[in-house]
Amino acid sequence: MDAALIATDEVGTRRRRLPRLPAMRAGVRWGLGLLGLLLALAIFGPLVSPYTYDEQAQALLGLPHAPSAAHWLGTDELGRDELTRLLYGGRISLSIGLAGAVVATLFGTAVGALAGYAGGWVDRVTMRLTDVMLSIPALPLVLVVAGMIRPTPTLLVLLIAGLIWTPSARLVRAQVRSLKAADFVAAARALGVGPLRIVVRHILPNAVGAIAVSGTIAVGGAILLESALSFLGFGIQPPTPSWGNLLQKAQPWLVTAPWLSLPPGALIFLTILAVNLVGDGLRRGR
Amino acid sequence: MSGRGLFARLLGTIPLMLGISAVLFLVIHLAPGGPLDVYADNPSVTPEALKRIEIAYGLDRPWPEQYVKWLRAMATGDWGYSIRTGRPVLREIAERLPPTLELGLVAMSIAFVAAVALGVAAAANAGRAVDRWVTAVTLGGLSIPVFWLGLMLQYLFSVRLGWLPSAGLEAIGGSSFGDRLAHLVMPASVLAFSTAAGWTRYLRAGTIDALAQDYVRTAYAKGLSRRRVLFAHAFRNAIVPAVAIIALDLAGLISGAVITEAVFSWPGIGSLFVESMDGRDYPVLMGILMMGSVAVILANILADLVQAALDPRLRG
Repeated sequence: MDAALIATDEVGTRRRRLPRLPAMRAGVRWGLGLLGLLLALAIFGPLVSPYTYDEQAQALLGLPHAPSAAHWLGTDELGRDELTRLLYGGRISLSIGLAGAVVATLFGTAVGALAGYAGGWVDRVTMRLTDVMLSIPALPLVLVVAGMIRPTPTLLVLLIAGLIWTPSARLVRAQVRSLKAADFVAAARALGVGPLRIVVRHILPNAVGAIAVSGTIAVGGAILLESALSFLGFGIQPPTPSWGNLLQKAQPWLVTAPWLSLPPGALIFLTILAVNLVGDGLRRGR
Repeated sequence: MSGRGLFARLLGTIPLMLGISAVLFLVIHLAPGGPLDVYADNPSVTPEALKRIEIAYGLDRPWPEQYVKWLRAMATGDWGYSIRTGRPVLREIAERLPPTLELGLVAMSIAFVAAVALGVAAAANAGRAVDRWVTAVTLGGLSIPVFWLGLMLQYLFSVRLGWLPSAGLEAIGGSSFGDRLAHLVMPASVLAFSTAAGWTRYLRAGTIDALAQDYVRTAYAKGLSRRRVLFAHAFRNAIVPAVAIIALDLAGLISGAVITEAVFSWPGIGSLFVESMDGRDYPVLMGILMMGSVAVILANILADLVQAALDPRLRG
């Protein structure tokens, strides 16, 4: 048995478990398309807009103004262009959601791989820790911490990740435990490959599909958490807009300026819908 | 599970409770300046006074000592006093529990009936129009943020149509049954919709799995009606794993449907939580978190008991 044979085996199993792109379900295509559109709006929208997110039209101060040719989605009570704030807020909300999910999935994968491969007391301690995290009600806990530290966007990403890493940790642990006994792992070990390399190069590539699905689902969870926190006033702080705090600012104007409430929530809804379409499709397509 | 098994199970949750209490304790002390940070912004509290309060509350002692003291107090029912109102935390919580339970139980009942009906209907017609509609609606329910759904319903039914009151538990002054019901409709529907979406998907998938099993073919071969096979055989097996999810969602109620209550100004635990956030009322916040965590642990045990009752194979 030589190294080349093992390498082919490794590549073979890795390919087989990856989500097959050509056979992707319609839902995945729609979801990715929608997500791409939202990302493009968030990235390029503020560049194209004639306004900046904190620019105030002096003539429109005091009350929100209805949509017009100059301000397509109207202005808020401070005379700021709502569409520009919405597009700029998309940058904040989407990047916090994506970054939160990536950090959570990476951290969860690391913890899960460690627990699954090491076994013994390391496994028991980390699994009890996930039990603890899963038992404390998530939104109230994150509210308390966010209320204490008044988070910057970076801290918010870490906070969200610190809360939603547990599902991917459990999933990766289960995958690692079942793959640990596989022949190709025994072969690699017999060749003197170190534990870190076995996990990273031989075991995890086989779990990539499952990790991708759980990461996708985490994006939806992270965006929902950020918007809920900001909606309750403990997330992103004004004047920086996020979809959640735009909706919070719109709530008192529901009767007199209802046009402010529709767009931010609709964008949160579409984003999570897109992510769920992708996640569902990947899960079934595997 | 026998009485002894249950007792062992309850004993087994002690390490978990200790872990949770340790995390919560750390969180309080993670506050910059600790629990006394509330007073730091207050100009009438001098540094000397702050020091005195610190000693009076034992906050100058080492952390492990404080933790043990706090734990002993929690265990004996002394959950401290609200910083905002000065009243015992347990009493604050007890007062806000009934509206939360009312909202939650109504919402969960609606959600359960809807989830069973839609889940089984979709599974029985897998791949057909009914199934596609159910799948689309549940996907919507899982994706829509409850605070936005709540706002949109308020706009439609309160602002535009004027059919339903937009917020609160009851009208100021009067509180007839009809009035309370009218106040309950929107928050309960929003909460039920988002909860039912998850349950429906779970029951649909479980029922489809069960329909593919040999015992279903046997049941048909015995000449049982489609309806009977669907409910007495397929659904009966699909509900067992779903019990765990349902129990967890029920436990989530105890710490309050924070967002739904905030949108509809529903005076339950969730609103108490948000109010306590604004007042940095840590004793109340910790009380609610602790109660919510205990509810999750108990719900897990309850789910095991119910599952064992439903499925003889799970009786150990």
